[in-house]
Amino acid sequence: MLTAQKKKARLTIFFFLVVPVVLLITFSYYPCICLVRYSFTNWNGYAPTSKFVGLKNYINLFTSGDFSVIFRNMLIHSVMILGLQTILALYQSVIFSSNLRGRKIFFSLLFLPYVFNDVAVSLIFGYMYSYTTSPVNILLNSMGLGQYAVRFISLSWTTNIWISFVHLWKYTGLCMILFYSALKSVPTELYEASALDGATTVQQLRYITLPSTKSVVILNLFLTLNGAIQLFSEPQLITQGGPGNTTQTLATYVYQLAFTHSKFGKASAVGVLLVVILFIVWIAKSIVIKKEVE
Amino acid sequence: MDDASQFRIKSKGWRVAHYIILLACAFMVLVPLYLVLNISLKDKAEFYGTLSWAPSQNIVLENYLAYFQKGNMLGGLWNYIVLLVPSIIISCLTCSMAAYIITRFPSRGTRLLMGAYLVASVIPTVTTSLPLFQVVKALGIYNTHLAGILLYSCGNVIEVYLFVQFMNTIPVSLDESAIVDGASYPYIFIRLILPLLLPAIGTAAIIKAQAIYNDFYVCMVFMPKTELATITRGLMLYVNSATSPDWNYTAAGIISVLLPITVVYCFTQKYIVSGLTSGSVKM
Repeated sequence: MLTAQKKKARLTIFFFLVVPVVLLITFSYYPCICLVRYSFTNWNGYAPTSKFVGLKNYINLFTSGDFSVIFRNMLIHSVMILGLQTILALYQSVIFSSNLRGRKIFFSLLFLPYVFNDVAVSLIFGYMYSYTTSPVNILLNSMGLGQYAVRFISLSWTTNIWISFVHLWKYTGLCMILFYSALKSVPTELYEASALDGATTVQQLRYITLPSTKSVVILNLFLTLNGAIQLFSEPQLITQGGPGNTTQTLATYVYQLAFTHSKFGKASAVGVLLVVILFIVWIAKSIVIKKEVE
Repeated sequence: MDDASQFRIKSKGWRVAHYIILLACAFMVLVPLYLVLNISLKDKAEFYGTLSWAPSQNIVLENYLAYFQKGNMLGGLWNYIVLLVPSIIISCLTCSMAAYIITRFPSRGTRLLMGAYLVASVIPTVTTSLPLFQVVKALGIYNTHLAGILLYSCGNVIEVYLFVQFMNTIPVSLDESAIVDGASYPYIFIRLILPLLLPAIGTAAIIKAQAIYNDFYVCMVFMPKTELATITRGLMLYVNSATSPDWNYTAAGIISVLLPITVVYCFTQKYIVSGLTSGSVKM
């Protein structure tokens, strides 16, 4: 009787997991192995044959001038997005869990950009950033301050700041709701009791909120960093990584090498690099969180 | 969002300061939207003749009409639904099946599966799309709806977590008493678990629907044919078309694409927020 039940359980486990596991392998793990394999070849994406070139793609990548520019852009995006997005989202989430009147309207409004699609958002900011049509510059001109008109998209590194701003505009809301739900998970009684004892808001934040939400805040920092490193839609849709390589990120570089220049081999090498960086961040996150729990 | 407040802002000065900061944030969100909406209501002469800030004098809908004809909104909606319905059914079913095994038959294998979902979520779409491009071509589904359906159906870790968390709240004693009554596992899953799981399925479906509506990448790479374009991809094609439209037409396109999702957002905000937070917080 017992063995029959066990047999049934085994059969169930097998049939229930077949489809999910096949989907997971075909669309996540098999491509990953292929990616590594392509990265050692000079394949162009459609030829039936390709040549094994060893580490040539990787050596070319690290010695080319493109790489340092892309790395610089990644740093700018990470600093901008990690810094500003976290500060803004933390501030907003604290305010939204306070007794400020009208907070629900602000909550809905500030989360709204998250549900907008990248295509529309990038078109909007493409318009906002164009030198001649930018409403900012039009405003400056009409005030007689035309000489201060901003060149948003230029060959300067500052272009990346404007690109990260688009990401910030869209994703601060997501970051905010994650912090918000962490704040909400702290029992209200703790705040009430401390308020009776005369604790100030800053003290409450320091001694109640911070210790009990620390791990979520750390987790969120890593998620945000993850998003910044694999930035794709905004630079791809607004500037196509240009002008030149000024706003190229690892992800846009992968896309353009593969689908515009038909260099699948080299693109795969860049792709492998991107995955490796993301895994390093992911492992760092796991270690930090583990330490935090202990 | 519930009403309980955790922090009390007592002084009037602070309250004013917070309002100023929040208004500044709201201003940053609304200004780009106001400008686009405003431009979309201007005809060509007014668009070129006036400043973009200036409110539209004679509100015209011709830009919207043009977009509905050339931007192929209805075709886009149809393609969206064709992709959406099977993807939601397949992904909800497979993810809830995986979650059922993970919560009811915990073992080393299921922990491995959970880890496999987690690791898969670290790999970005752009990199997997290079080999997937070959997989899709080899399967002979390049440039068909099937390519999109299969790629969207592949469950992700957020969905699995959502179901696992929800399933943990369903008491196991319920399963056990059914087993004593002689019910089989598939029967328990379909008749007992799935109905109780409906709220989680609803949340997962809303998040999926939002994600597919907003996605342009799968469409662009795996089904670039114009006839297969969804609403979002349609906007992209409209702007990049040979006779690239004036900005007042593009603005109407942007508003047409954003309006449906904004309306849906107004009614489903609660579910989107709860789904995103319960799925992500445990990662």
